[in-house]
Amino acid sequence: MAGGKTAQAGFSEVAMASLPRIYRLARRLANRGAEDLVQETLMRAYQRFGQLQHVEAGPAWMSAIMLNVYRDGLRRSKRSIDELAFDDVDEYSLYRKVEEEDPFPYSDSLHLDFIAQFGRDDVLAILLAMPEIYRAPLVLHYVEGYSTKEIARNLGAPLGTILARLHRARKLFERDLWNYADREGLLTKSHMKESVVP
Amino acid sequence: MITCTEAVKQFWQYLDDDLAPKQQQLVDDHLGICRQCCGELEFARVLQSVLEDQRSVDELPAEVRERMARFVKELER
Repeated sequence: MAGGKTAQAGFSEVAMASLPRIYRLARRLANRGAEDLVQETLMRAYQRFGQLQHVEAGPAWMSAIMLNVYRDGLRRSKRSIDELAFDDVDEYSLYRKVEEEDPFPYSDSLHLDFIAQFGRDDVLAILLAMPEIYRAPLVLHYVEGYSTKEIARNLGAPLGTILARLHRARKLFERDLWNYADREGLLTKSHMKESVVP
Repeated sequence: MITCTEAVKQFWQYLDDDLAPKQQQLVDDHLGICRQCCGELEFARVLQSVLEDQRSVDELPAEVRERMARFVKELER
């Protein structure tokens, strides 16, 4: 077991301080498998706790370990090779879709009013419903702030593959925003909220 | 010069500063003459901010925190 008694005594503090961040990441990467992913990460982190130089770097260190655990899981299950076929999503434009459908005819700021209909829970629901191989790079890049090169390295995939998946993920996200709004009744007049850009 | 479709396909990467200089210049040139695409670019920026906004969501349920605290204690035994 790595780390002496002093280091191990501090593990629970680092683990609990990191928990909100790593659970958020786990939820967005693995959805229903989030708790398993967190537990595997905690186990691996505990074994390597002696390698952590600065306690304040704990959350970032735990996140990096989680990505390794996640990548290993992908390799084991071969989920990473399940590319999906989409006919027309690569050229999808939500901006044009909103303009064409014009859900709020009296709006002076149609696109912002469209986006204002979505709460954070709506956006999370859309992300969680996306295929995992597209959700992962989208979340890692835009929510967690990883560069595309870091994502490629951490997920063990070529940069070109990550760029292609990220492109498709952005377009899927645009399409799913529209479909979700349509399905959940966000486009009805009675539901309309004022636009507040996040 | 590139078409609107070609420009739109690259907007997210353009905002990420992730395009090669030549491609970036082609998008810049297109934006210089296309008001519709300027609007579309602004909208792509808003969509990015919607995703970035997920960072501030604190969604750790109390029961998960308790389960994980117990798990950490077990690890330390």
